[in-house]
Amino acid sequence: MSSNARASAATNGEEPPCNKKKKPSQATEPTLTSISSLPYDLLLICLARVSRLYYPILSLVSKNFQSVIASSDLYETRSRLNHTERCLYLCLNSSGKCLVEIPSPNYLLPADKSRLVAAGSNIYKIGGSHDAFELFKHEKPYSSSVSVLDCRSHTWHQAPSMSMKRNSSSTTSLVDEKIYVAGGCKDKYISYPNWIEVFDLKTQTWGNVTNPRIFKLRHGVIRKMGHVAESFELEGKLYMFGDENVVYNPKEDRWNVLGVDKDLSWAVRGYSYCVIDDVLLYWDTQVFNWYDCKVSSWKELNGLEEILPDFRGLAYFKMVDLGGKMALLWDNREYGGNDFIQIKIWCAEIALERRDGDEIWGKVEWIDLILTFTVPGECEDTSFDAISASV
Amino acid sequence: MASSSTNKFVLKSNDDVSFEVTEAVAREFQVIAHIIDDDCAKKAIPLSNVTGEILSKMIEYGKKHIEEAPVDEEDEEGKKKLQIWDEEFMKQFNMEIVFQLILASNYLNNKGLLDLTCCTVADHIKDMTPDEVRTLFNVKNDYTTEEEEEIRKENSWAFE
Repeated sequence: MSSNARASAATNGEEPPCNKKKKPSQATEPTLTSISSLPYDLLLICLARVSRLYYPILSLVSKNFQSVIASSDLYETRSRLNHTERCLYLCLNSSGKCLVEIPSPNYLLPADKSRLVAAGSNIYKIGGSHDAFELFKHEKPYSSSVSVLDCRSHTWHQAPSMSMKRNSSSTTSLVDEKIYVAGGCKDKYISYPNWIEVFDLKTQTWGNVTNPRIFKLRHGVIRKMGHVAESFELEGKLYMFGDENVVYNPKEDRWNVLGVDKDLSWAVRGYSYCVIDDVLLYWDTQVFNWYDCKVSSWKELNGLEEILPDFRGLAYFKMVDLGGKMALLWDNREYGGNDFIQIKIWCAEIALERRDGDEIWGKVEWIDLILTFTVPGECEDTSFDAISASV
Repeated sequence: MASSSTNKFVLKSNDDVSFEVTEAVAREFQVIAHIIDDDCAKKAIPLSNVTGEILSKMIEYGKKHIEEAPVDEEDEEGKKKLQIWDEEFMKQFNMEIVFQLILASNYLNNKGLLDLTCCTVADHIKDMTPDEVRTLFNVKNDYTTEEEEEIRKENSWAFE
C-alpha cells in the first residue's frame, strides 16, 4: 500500500483503534449521511478518474468546483493514479482567424505559421510570427519566440526565446526531455552554429548542439523547395533529413550519416508520418508502411486496406501518436462558388497490434466527423495541425 | 502463530454489529492488518467510522477478493472474472452508499475498493449536467448569470 493512501486514511479518520484507552467507540466524525461529506483528497481521486474532456462542464458546478478542476492538485492526482489521458488538440488557422477549442489570444494561433511539439502536458509553439502585419505577406514569417500551452489549465505562457528567428519550415523533435529545433531560418544561416538549437525542458534553457550541415549552399543556385529539413525521434536518437541524412545520438553527442537505415528517409518524403511506440509509420498515398528496425526495411501495415476512405488527393492528411494508438485526421472541402469553403475534418482512431514479432496490424476503432466550419472563399490556404498531449 | 485461514478476528461496527472474519479477509484492510501486526487485536476490533451495513459490504468485497484472487500477474482470465464481479457488486448501491463506501475504504485503507468506488462516482458524473452534479455533491450554484455565461462562452465547444 502506498504511503499516500496511509497518510490520507490518517488525515480524515482517527488513528487506528489500537490502545484500549483510546477506544474510539463514539464516532468523532459527522455521521455519514450526507454525500457532500467527501473530503478534499477523496473528491480529487473521484474527479481524477473523470475524463479531462468533461472538466469544462464540471467547472460550471460552482466556484469551488472550478477551483478544484483548475488546481495542480487534481493533475498531480491524475499522474499519481496513472490516469492521465492522451488528448488530441486540433489547431486551425484560416488567415489569422482561429477556430480552436482553447481560449487563446489571436497572436498565438496561426498553426501553419509555426511548429508545434508536445512534451508531457505542454504544447510548445515554436517560431512563426506574432506580428499581425507579417501575416499579410506571402513569405512565411520568422520569429524566435516560443509559446507554451499548458493543457491542464488551457492557458498560454511564454518560454525563453531561441537565438535564431525561424518560420514554419523549421523542424522540431523531442528527444530525452529536450526539444531540438532546426532550420526554418534564412538560407544565409544554414552553416551557422545556431541553425540547430536545443531546449532543455528541465532547466528551461536553450543550448547548442553541433550543426550537422545537411545542406550544401551553392551560390547562384535557387532551390525551388528551399532548404527544408525534417526530423523525428526514434529509439532515443534524433534523425534528420536534408540533402544528407544523419542521425544524432545524444549520449555520444555525435552525428553519423545514415547507413543501413538510409531508407528511413522515405517517411519524410511521403505524405505524412509519425512515430508510435518507437515504430516509424508513414503513408505513401497507397498504404501505410512501418519500418522494421531489426531487418532495416519497410513493411506494410496490415488490416486497413478496405476500411479507410481513399486519402489520395486530400488537401490535408495527418497522422498523430495517441499514446500507442494512431489518430488519422483529414479534411473534405466543398466549394460554394467563390463565396465560401466548407471544411469538414474527419478523424479515425486506429489500434495497432504486433503479431508474430514482425507484423503490425491496424484496427479502426472509430471514424467520425469531428468538426465542420466555413471560411471565406479567399481562404483557400486554411490548414490545420493536430498534436496530442498527456493530461 | 495460527495460519491466516484459521485465525479469526471480530470486526465491530459503530452501531455494534459484529462480524467474524478470517485473518486473510481482515488483512485486506491495511489499517486492520497493522492492528493485527501490532498485536492489538486480542478482542473485537472496534471500527468507529463504519456502520454495520457498510462493513458487511466491505467484508463481502474482501472475501471475494481473497477467494477469487487471480493466480498471478499473468492470470488475465482471473482478473477479468473479478472485474466483472466488481461491476455487478457496485450496481446494487445508490450514490449515497457509494460515498459511504469511499469514506470507509479510505478509513480502513483498502486501495482496491477505494479505486472501484471512486471509478463508480467518476462514471456516474460524466453523464451528468452541472445541475445534477450540484445535487449529488450537495453544492450550491454560486455563479451569477453573467459569470456562468462567460464560462459557457469560453468552452462553447464542450457544451454542444
